[in-house]
Amino acid sequence: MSLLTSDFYKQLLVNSTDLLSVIDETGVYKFVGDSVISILGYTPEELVGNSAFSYLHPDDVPATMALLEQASATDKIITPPFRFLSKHDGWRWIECTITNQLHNEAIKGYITNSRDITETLEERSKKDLHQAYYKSLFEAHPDAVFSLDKQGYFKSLNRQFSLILGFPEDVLLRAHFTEFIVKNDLSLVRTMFLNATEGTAQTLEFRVTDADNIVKVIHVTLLPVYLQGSVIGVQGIGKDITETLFAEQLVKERTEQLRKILESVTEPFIALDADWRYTFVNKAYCELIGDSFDFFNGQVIWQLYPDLLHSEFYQKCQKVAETGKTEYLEEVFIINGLVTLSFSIFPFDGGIAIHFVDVTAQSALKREMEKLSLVASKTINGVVIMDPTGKIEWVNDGFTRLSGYSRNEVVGLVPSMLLQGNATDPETESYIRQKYQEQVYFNAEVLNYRKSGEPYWVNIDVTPIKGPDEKLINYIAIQTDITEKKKAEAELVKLADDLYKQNLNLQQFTYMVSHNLRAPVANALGLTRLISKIDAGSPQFNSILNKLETSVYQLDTVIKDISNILSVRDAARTLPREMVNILAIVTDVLTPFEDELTSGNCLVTLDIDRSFGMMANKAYLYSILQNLVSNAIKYRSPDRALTLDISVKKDKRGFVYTISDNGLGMDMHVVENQLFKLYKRFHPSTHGKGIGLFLVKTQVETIGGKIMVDSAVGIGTTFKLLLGAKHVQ
Amino acid sequence: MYNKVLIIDDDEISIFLTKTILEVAHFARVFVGFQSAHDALTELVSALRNDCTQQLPDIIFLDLNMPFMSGWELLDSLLPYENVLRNKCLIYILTSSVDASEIEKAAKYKLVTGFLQKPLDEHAIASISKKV
Repeated sequence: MSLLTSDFYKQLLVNSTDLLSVIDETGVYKFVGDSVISILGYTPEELVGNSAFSYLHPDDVPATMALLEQASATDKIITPPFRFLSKHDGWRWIECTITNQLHNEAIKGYITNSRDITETLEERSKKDLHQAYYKSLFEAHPDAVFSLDKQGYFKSLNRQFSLILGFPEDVLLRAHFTEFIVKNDLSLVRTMFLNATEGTAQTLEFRVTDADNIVKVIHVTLLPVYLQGSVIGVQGIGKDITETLFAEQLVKERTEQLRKILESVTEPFIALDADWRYTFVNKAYCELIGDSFDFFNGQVIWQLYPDLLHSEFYQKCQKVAETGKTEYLEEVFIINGLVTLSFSIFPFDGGIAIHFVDVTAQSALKREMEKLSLVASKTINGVVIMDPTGKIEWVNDGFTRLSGYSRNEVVGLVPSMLLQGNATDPETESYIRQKYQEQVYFNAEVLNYRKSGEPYWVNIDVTPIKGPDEKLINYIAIQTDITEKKKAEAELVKLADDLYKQNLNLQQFTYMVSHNLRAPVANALGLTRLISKIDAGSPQFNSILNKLETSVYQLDTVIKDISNILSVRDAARTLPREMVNILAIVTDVLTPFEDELTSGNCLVTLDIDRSFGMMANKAYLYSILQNLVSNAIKYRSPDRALTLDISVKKDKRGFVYTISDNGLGMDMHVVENQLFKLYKRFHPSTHGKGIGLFLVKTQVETIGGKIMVDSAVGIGTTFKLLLGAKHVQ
Repeated sequence: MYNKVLIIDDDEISIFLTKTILEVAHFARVFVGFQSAHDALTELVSALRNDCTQQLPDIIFLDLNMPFMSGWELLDSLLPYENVLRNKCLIYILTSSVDASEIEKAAKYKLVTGFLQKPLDEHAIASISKKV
């Protein structure tokens, strides 16, 4: 070596691909080989004297410095690649071998042997990248990835693959792929493998058995692997689709099941997509409309039935599509006549579903029920629903109006116990009780009492409602207010009674009048005829003349009486009334009789409160009292002095006048029905026309009162006058 | 000519008239008037009881409408003596107003021979006069 010339070294240094340089302990260049020109672009002179670190990438300086310090303690050190700024070509990756020659007196520094490894590094980095990609693709692939040799043995596989089959990697790497295939699928898979080895990629789904003997379905693609134009093996990528398949199957089954359910639903059901096209109609719908699914499928409902555009149904469908919320409606359509359809319109993913029911019958029933309930609640009649024990379950407003009881007050009570009271006819009550016991329909008119205590008449219709087993379910009672009717009835009865009495009176009146008119007329007629047959001037003749005159007077009296009576009767309506002090009028009546009473030693007793006053026709009251007093005097007993007691008492209804004497008296058996009749006389010894008491009675009745008599022969007579409440002030 | 005639009428003038007409017509020898039916009944019953039928009148003129005891009541009271009376005396109802219902009612009384209206006229008297 020493024989070689310095030029040789020089050439070696210039042409070497390595850069040889010497740096001191601090890194300052002491010598730089000429090859630096070709490697880094600098001349050796440019570098010598400068620190090598000043050319290093700042990021790489600290590590390289540390290495240099380490180098002092060793002979040789190889640096990791670092970046060095070249003169023309930017950063270059440099690898350097540092040899410690500090102790070599000839060098006294580090010999650095540097190589530009930028190209190598980039190459390596690229390879690393490929490797990383492949590795990531292979190892971290979520699917199972594997490779087989041309014989079919596993050469490599990823974690996912061993997870699917459940065997550890090392077991699988010794295995042939056919070991895991389910027998029935084997030939198919083998064919696929052979195809792949012949260069054809293929995808297949087949079944494998895992370590736990569970059959799984995997989806596998086999690809041929080429090297230099020929297939060297097969690579595969697979996926466990057991779950997916199962899920798909499930979805399929569910869909089918759902379809069957919808199909079997007896009510029409349709599904429309977002464009209102039919996607499903069930059998019931087809039957209702009369067309098959093929007819509807894909048709836009609104085009098929443009009339629907004006329907509420259309509005609701639009609303469901907008809001995504279910809607319900009932609408009347004409499909073989008027039908009421009840729709449920609900949204689903991608459209709306419509289900509807023909509720024509129900809605008719509902309307009827509504009407019935309206009738029951709004009718003016009272409606009461009772349980089988007769206790109230419900009452309507009519009942509340009639009775004054609210619904809450009466629920649970028995109507008859609640409503009937003192004046309710016990016979009716027991009839009602009996009918409830017999559980049969009945009708009754009954006096009820309101909550306020006010009585009212109702007509009740009670119907027992029985179930199919004849078991009593309810009673329904309908109460009709017949108070007015009852009043009218009572008035009618009274009217008829009055009319009957009136008629009777009139008959009697007519009879008596005709008789009493006829009697003096007959006499006058007879006497007139007789007079022609009798000699004038004879005593008989004069007698006849006298009688004739008397007869004519009698006739006149009767006519006056009749006129008098008629005027009293006619006055009934127009009679003026005034406030009359009772004591005063009795005193007035007695005054004209004063002399007669005094001379006869009569004892008159008055028992009348001086404050008593009543509204009455004064003239009539006077006439009535005068007649009664006059009668008492007229028919007094010849055997004893007359005692006349007049008393007036006030009671609930009005005033009771009692005029009592100790006169002749009458046999009540004889006079009872005759006393107050016209032209009836009962005292043969005294002269009476038989009109006084008739007139008294007529006058009493005219002013709304009543007269009664009690008498006994030889003891006396008592008249009682009842003058009604309406006269009480 | 009848022997005795009884006139029962509460109206004094009516008795006078009937009696005078009959006298003029020479209808009977004796006329007895009663203003009270009750008094007349007493007399009649007394004669019937004492079997003094010769005291009974041949004819009775009876008014219906009278106080205390009406003509009908008198007739009713005489019912027990119907048989005796029918052979002995004729009873005529003599009333001022003739009512159809009263004629009917009278027809039911066997004691009643006829129904006459006041005042008695010649025709009526002739029809009931004893044919001599």
